[in-house]
Amino acid sequence: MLNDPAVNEAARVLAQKLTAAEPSESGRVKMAFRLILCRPAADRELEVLNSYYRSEKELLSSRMQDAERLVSVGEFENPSGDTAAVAALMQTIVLLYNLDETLTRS
Amino acid sequence: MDTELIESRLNTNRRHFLGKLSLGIGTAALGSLLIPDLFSGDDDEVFSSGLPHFAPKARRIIYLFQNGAPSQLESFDYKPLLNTMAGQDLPASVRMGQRLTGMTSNQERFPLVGSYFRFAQHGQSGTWVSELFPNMARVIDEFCVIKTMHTEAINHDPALTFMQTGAQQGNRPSMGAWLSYGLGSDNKNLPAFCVLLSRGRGNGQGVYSKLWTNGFLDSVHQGVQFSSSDEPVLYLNNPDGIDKDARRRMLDKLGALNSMAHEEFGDPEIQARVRQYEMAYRMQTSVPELTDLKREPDSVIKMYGPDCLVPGTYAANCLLARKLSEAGVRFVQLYHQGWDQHGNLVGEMPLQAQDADRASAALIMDLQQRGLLDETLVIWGGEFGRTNYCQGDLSKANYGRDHHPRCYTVLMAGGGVKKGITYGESDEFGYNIVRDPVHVNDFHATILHLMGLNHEHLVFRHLGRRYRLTDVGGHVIKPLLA
Repeated sequence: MLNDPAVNEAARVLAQKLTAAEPSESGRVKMAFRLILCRPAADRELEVLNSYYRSEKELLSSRMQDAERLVSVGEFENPSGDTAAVAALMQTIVLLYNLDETLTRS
Repeated sequence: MDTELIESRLNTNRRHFLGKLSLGIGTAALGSLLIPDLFSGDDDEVFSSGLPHFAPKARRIIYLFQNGAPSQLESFDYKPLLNTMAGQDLPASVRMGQRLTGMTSNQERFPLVGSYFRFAQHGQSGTWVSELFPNMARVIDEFCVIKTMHTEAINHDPALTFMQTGAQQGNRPSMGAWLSYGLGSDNKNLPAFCVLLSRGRGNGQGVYSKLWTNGFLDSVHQGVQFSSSDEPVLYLNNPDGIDKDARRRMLDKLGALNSMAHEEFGDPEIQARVRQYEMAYRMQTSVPELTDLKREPDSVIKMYGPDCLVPGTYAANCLLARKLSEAGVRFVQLYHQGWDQHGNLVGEMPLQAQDADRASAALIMDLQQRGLLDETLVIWGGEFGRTNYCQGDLSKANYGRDHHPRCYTVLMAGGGVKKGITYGESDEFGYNIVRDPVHVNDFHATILHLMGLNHEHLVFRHLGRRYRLTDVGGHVIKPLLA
């Protein structure tokens, strides 16, 4: 689930859509949570996610090559944009896809 | 009506609370019994060995499952009477009205047929082995040949499921999952239960992931399937642009969020998932090292044969099984498909045997050379046997055999099993058991015993009762023990 290209492509495309739709970065993280978990995020959850998003974005900004490689996954159309921001949001979304709560089925 | 509704809600809450309480305390207590270091503070200790019930003879198992049911009559159960009586009908006094599969029950005749392949005695034990298994014949003195296995199922899927889980339905934990539950893992970087699949050249029968399921046990006990592609474990490698540090950072946050959910809901499966993700992270390093078979010395490659360098062959899987087992994997389950010879037995069985014989024998020798055979139990066999009468057209040069659950042969070697013996006796027709039957439950009880577990004490409470691998049956077959 963390490494499957299909999951990573889905995360990349959602990250690009959210980036286009929502100007605020913390707003994008919040919206991703709502879309994937079907409930609003708790404050402490947002804290973890925002800190993860920010540190990933900072790291990826200094390693644009990695950011480029991350967002190049999959065949769905790939508009150019703020690559580091999209890659960091994409990683945050992969994380959300992999939460036990997301994967739980009964 | 309102009162009833409120009561019902209260009820649910109380039930939830009590359920949670008993589960919480129960799992903690059981966990600490099985894993004495559970509360020592180090998370990794969860993967350390559990405590057996008594001193084990075997520490690990490699199960070479010959899927599809190889004929005992062309391999290890020599029945010359079938050659002398070839073409005559199976006497009703032998069949005794026992059921047949729908594939032959409508046949007008049940003509007996003897082995097309010659048998000879081998080793000091003088065990009869057919010419199809020359390499196994050379190490036959290491084996205990059980000639009187019998099962309750007559078709592949239920029989296979029965051999693997102790039940025919497919919802119970597999043998490897029970051992992982009972004994834990000896290597925290690898799963305790690994599964390897290979296809033979004969008529094949499918295998399904329910055969290595954890059933109602914690998900960390389920078997991990290694695939035959370039990536032995699918999607184990990080995607492009992610290095080990980046993966670590994500896992830490993922773990933190999952732990919040666990605090809130108390579902042990959440913790199981966290552990599985951490296991996968460690496997990113351990698996590539292990599965690189090209680094094996020439002498080893020669023993298993050149096929062992082709991923996904039975030979490659046997070698990989040795490496996994050596690294501490508790239970390595191989499935080799293609043993279902309803027809063209004379054409297919030599090809199947050619693939299976050399590598199976090589595994025994390899383990022996490394001093591992004494603590590793190797099992070789299928889900049932094959009929002594011919299915379909019988000619001098070819024939087929249908499923036969009444009596079949399974081999064991190493790990506390008596060497060079034959256990049990089938009748001259190879149809019924004359002496010392071994039911599938007995087989499981004996295997657990060899691993230091009392099959009546290895239990898990589920749906209001305690379950065992042997369910409500099973006796340890003491004469098999060294």
